[in-house]
Amino acid sequence: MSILGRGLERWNTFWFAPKSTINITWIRILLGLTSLLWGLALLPDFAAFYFHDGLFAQPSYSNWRIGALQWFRQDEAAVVAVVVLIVSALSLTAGRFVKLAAPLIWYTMMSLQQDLIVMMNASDVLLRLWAFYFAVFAVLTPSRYLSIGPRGRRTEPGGERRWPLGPAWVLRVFQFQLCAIYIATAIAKAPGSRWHNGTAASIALGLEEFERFYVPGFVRENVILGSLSTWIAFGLEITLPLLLWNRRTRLLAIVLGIALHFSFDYAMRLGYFFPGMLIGYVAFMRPGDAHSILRFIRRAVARVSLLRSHRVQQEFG
Amino acid sequence: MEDQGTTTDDPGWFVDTRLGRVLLSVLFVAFMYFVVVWNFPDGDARDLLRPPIQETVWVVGIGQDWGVFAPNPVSTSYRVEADVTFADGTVERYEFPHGDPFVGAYREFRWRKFESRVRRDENRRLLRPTALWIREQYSGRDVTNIVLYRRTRKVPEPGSGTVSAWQDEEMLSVPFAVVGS
Repeated sequence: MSILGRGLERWNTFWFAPKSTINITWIRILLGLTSLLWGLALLPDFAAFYFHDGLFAQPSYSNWRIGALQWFRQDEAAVVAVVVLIVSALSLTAGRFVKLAAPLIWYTMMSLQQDLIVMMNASDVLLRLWAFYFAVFAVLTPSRYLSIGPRGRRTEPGGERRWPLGPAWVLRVFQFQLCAIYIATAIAKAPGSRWHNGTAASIALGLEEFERFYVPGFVRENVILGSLSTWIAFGLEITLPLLLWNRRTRLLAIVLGIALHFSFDYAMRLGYFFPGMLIGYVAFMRPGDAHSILRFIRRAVARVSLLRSHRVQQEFG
Repeated sequence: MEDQGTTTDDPGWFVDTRLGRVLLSVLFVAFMYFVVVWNFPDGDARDLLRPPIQETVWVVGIGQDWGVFAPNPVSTSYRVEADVTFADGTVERYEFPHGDPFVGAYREFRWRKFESRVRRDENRRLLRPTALWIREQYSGRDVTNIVLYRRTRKVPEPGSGTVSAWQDEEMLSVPFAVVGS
C-alpha cells in the first residue's frame, strides 16, 4: 500500500472507526446537566442581567455576532431564550429530540452570553464550544445513537444492557479541543515570572474574588507547598496533551487531569470550568475505565485501612 | 474492554458514504486549522492568519482565549461597592450578591467577574447604569446619593505573614433628587 493509501486508512480509522456509544452518551448527559445548571444559575439575577431596567439596558455587540437578543430587545425575548435553553438541556439529558435540543442549547447559550459579555469567563466559552461541537454531531448522526440511557441499551425486553457501536468522530473533536486548551494556556503562562519562581498558586489562592471552600492558611503561606502546587499545575498543563495520547499513560493522565481541575474548583470560584473539563476528559475514556479507576481507589482505601489496623495492633497488641 | 468491530448498523450517510466522509474530513481540517490559528500566541503569524477566518469563528461562536492567570495571576484583589446615602442622612454600604460555596458559587462568580470588569477605566460607561440599578434595590426608600468605590487589596507575598488592608477609590458619585422635596 502506498504512503498516501496508508495515510488515508489511518485518517479513516482515526475519525470514522465506530466506537462504543458510552462516551457519547455520557458527554450528552453531562453537557445537558451542565447546561441546565448554567441556565438555572442565571435565574436569581435574570432581571438585573437581561431586563430593560437592569444593569445592561444597551449591551454592545461586536461585528459578526449572531446572538438573537441583539435583534429582539424585549425582556420577554430573554425569558424565551432561557426557557428554551432549560427545556433543551432537560431534553438533551434525557436523550429526547436531541437533534433539535443540541443546536438550541448552542444558540440560546450563545445569545444569552453575547448579551452579557461583561459577566462571562472562560468556562462559559468552554461550554459554548462543547455545545456547538455536539450540536453539529447531533445533526449529522442518526437519532438512535443519541437517545441511549446512562446504562446502555436493553437488547430486548428483559435482556442484557449493552453499548452499541456508533459514529464517534465528535470524540476526536473534543480531544483535540481539550489538548488545544492546555497547549494555549501553557504557552501563555510560559513567560510568567510567578510560574517560574513558584508563587503563582499562592497568589491565585490569595485573590479574594475567587475564594470558594476553606483552604488552610498554611497552604497559601508555605513557600514549599506553594511552589510545588505551582509547578505541578504548570507541569501538568504542559504534559497532559502528551500523556493523554499515549496508550500507557492515558488513564493516569485522565485521573491527574480530573484531580487537577477538581482541586482548582474546590479552592476557587471558576464557574463551569470543572464540569466543562470533565466533559472533555470523558472523550478520552474507554469502556471499562471508570471501573478501573474505582477499583484503584478501592484498593488504595483498603491498603490504607489495612495499614492503620496494623499500626493499631502494634500499639495495643 | 476495547472498541470492537469496524462497522455499525447504518451509522448514517455522513459516515457511511465516501462523499459524506470527504465532506466531514473538510470540516475536521477546517476545525483543526481554526482552533490552532485562533490559539496562536501574539505575533505576526497570528496577525496574518486570523483575519481570513475571524468572521466564521465569530458567527459560530468558537472564538476562545485560554490565558487564565497568564502570563501571571493578578496580584491584587478587586471589589466594587457603593455608599448609598438616604434622605434621613444615613449611609449604607452596598455589596453585590454573594452565594454559598456549593451551588451559590455558580451565581456568585458572575458578580465577581462583573466587579473585576466594571472597575476598569475602559468600562466607565457601565458605572452610571450600575448606580441607577443599585438605587432600584432600595425602592421605597429615598436615596439622595450613590458613590461607587473601587476597592483594592494587594495579595501578600507567600511566606511574608502580612495582611494588607483594602483601599477605597471613588469612581463615580451620582446625586438623586428626592421626589416631593
